[in-house]
Amino acid sequence: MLNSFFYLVGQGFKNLWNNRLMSIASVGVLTSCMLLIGAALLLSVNISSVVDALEDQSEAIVYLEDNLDSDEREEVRDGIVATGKVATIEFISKHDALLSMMESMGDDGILFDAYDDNNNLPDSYRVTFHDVSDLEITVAHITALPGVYSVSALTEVAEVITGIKRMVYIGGAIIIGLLVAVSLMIIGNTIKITVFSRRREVNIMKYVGATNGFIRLPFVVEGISLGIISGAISYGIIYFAYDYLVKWVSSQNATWFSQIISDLVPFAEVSQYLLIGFIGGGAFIGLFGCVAFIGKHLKV
Amino acid sequence: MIEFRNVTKKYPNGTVALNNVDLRIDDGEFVFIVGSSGAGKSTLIKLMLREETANSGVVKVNGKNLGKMARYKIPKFRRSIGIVFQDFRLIPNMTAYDNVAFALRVTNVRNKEIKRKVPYMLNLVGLSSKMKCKPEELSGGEQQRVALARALVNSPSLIIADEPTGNIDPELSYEIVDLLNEINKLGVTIVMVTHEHDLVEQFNHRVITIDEGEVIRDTEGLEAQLC
Repeated sequence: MLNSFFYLVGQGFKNLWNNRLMSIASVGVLTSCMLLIGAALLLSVNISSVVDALEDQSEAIVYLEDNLDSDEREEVRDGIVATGKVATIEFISKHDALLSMMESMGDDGILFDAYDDNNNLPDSYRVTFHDVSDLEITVAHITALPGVYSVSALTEVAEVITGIKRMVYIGGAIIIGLLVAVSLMIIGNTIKITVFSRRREVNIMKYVGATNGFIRLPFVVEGISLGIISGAISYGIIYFAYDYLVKWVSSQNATWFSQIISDLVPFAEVSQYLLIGFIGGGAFIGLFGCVAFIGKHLKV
Repeated sequence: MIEFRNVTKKYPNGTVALNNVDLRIDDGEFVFIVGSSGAGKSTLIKLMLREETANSGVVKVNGKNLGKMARYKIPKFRRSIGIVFQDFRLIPNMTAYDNVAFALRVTNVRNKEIKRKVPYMLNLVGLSSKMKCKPEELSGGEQQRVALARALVNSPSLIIADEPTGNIDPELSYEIVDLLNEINKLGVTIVMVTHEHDLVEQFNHRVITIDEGEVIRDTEGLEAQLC
């Protein structure tokens, strides 16, 4: 049994070479599809990372009513945190608020020096959110808390960010889904042609008394090998292309480029997922394609 | 032994390839099956190999009822038969040696045994010097001899040859049938389909004539030559 197994695995590798034109065509098709999927994935991951960074920067100022004691202020704080969407929360006393305002006015700020004893500015909390979806509802919930005077937040910006995020998720999923479907169709046809070109060989094997498993195994080895080779090539190309892109962008002087580069997801962060996806996916497609399309020619 | 009892085979397009055929071929016989194109000879072979099944009637080969045979048992059944085709059906990217060895590998024979049996068989058909040649490097007659070696290597009790001389010169045709004749003398049953009457006449064997899907004549050797 083991004797046959090693022979058949060897035959699979031999066939890769014997049918090298078809092997190159299959690797070419598989690699092109994987590159498209990989590029779409990286683009989607990066847009989503930029949106996440914007999300982190969105904040709200919660103004408190006058004369709240420290326990009442703590209650408001707990109420805000209880919304479950808060990333950071920082208390700003009316004194700190005045200093900040004076500082922002530069030399003219000294005009407000006399107001320190008669400071009409309210105590407040500066709140940042890890999730700005439904910010309007969150703001309404915070506004209704006892001790809250008013809340200032750019809910419209948050809505735009949420919209972009949703678009990236749905759009990305649709594009990647379509690419995967198209890739499967192209790869399926390539494998079909490969198997069809060797249907005679399969037919002869059947007449000699080979079992379906015996005939399939070399094809399976071939399919998996083609998938793994394509996965490795795609990974290599994506790795060097992305690295080149990062370096090229960082070499540009324009400030908006610098902004983008600071937000580009490092390749190391996604590399292992890409590697597993490419090689695992490639091997699976190769295996599935061979097993599925060879079946028709085994009915002799 | 091969047995056809009231066998009818009708294809989905309505063609009746075999109509109520009855025949029996005993162990150790050499039988020619002759008939014009479309007479039903190929269908007869396909039924013997369980490539097709009959619509009605019983087909038995080596004691096995092929109509009732499960699909997974077909490979093992085919290993007990040697098959030779008109177009040789050798695997193009394998050498003569590997083509013959392949029939042994499917039966999971050890490498040591393969190394012993394959050269012996190729020597038997006179091709020991061309073991490393691929089919495209061999003449038609040589390719057919490789196919014959492949058919013989598993020591089958039955060899089915479907127009084995159809693609080779008349002189070589005689050699191939003569080789089959020698194999038959060792006790192997031979069923050979052909439409070459001249060739049939040179050998003193039973002849079954098929026409329009029916057995119209079944004669013993000398008798056949007199007809």
